Amino acid sequence: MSDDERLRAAGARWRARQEPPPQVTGSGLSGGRDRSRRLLPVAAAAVAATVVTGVVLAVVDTPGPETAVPPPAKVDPADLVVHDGDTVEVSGLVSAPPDRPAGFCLPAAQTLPGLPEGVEPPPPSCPDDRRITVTGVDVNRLSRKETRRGMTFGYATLRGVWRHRTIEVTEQYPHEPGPQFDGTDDDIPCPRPPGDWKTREQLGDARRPDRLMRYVNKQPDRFGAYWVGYVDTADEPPNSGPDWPQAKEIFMVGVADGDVERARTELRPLFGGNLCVTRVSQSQTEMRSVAKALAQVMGDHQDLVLGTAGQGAPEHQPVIELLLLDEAMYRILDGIGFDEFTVTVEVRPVS
Amino acid sequence: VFSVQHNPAKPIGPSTDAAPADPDGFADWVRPHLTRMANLAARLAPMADRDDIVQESLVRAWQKRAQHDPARGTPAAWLLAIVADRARRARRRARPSLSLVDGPGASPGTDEQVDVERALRGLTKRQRLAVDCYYFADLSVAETATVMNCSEGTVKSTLADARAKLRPLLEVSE
Repeated sequence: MSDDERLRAAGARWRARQEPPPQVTGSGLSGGRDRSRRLLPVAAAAVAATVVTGVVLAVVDTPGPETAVPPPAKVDPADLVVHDGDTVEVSGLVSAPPDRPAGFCLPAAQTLPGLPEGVEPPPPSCPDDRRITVTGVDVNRLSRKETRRGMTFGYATLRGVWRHRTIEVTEQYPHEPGPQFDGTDDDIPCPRPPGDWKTREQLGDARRPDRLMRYVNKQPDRFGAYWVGYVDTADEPPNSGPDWPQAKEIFMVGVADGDVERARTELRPLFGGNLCVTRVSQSQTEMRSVAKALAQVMGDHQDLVLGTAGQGAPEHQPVIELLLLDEAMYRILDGIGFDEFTVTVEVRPVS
Repeated sequence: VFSVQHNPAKPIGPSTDAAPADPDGFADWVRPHLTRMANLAARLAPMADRDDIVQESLVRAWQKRAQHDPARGTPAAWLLAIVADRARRARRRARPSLSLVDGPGASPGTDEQVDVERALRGLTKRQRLAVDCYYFADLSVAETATVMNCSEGTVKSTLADARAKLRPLLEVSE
């Protein structure tokens, strides 16, 4: 068997083991691997979205640079409000077409048709509705500058005056990409147990949380978010795949209502893995309600809202990603309650 | 909620490959690609929830449907590129969701499968990405090029390099 055939066979075996994908209808998704999860607000029921207040992750799908993951920092949303004339800061991809002013590109999926061999790929996509005009940029000072098909692009941190969806740049700094994963342990809101957390290898099938999740999901008014965290990961990042044996994987369950100790006593027999039961502010029911409200805001304000998520770290509550927070959007979100979700913004005011 | 009917429909071009502006039409448009979207999500973000990535990708695709340019790529390529973007985001979060912890994607499978997966860990990121897309998610070379943002020739050479690197590892496992 050739290498190609061996890999094709391995791929076919792997695909054969996959469950059917979720089904899609005009009114939503259904089915999939875990039907109960599909009842969560879709605009992203991601159990583990890493979004922090301050700067939205500038995840622009380009081939080279990775973008910075800002440290979690809860800030007062009122401090994020931007008015015309304010000094603001953005950081990420800048495109500079030859025939128009440069633009700061908002995070977007990059698409590219299949290209014949030897054909130069196009520059990263930066469509008008995902682009902020930036005047006064020194293209020659862009980090990792590149030109494809006549379009120069690169990365920068820019400061300037915000006016009519344009930034008049007054200061330009190199863009420093952050690490994808720096080996930092997740925050585990429980002390290490006697003898330490167990590795995945030690736990084997005991780490399967099926029963625990079923129990939690049946009490959506009592339990809130649940998520997984890792510790001692410096030598073996979690992206290395499902056979990551040395991971110390801890399953966190949030209790929104009632006694945490009592919940822990109830949950422990249902799960043989590393378990951390902790207090959270929102129940699953409350999270769904908030996420639904945010999704509605997104539908009504597509010019400002970049996305929403049903649950995101580090607050383990719904998330809304904004181009920027203006006064009108502040009032809308204040009506929902800023304590109920996490806001991220792409255009940040500079005090 | 992925209640696409809540979003205003935008007019789009006349091409039959353009993303439909009505929810049911859009659902029909993406349905043929769901399996490969799910497989790509599972391969690129094995520690995350595959269905959540697909779900996020469809929401994103619906929101951005007016941006799909049939002249620049097939619907499959466009959708798979969005999945790759969402999967990368999920992977960067480095906080895996639970479904894969207990789902079939996390199951090591046969010994041979385990050997292959272990061997794949010896590849570079780009080689691993190419192998995941082409051999496991069953993308074409052109679609893999889309996901990798490179030419088809680069995909082919990357796959060749990956096979060469895997050869001794896989032979040992046989």
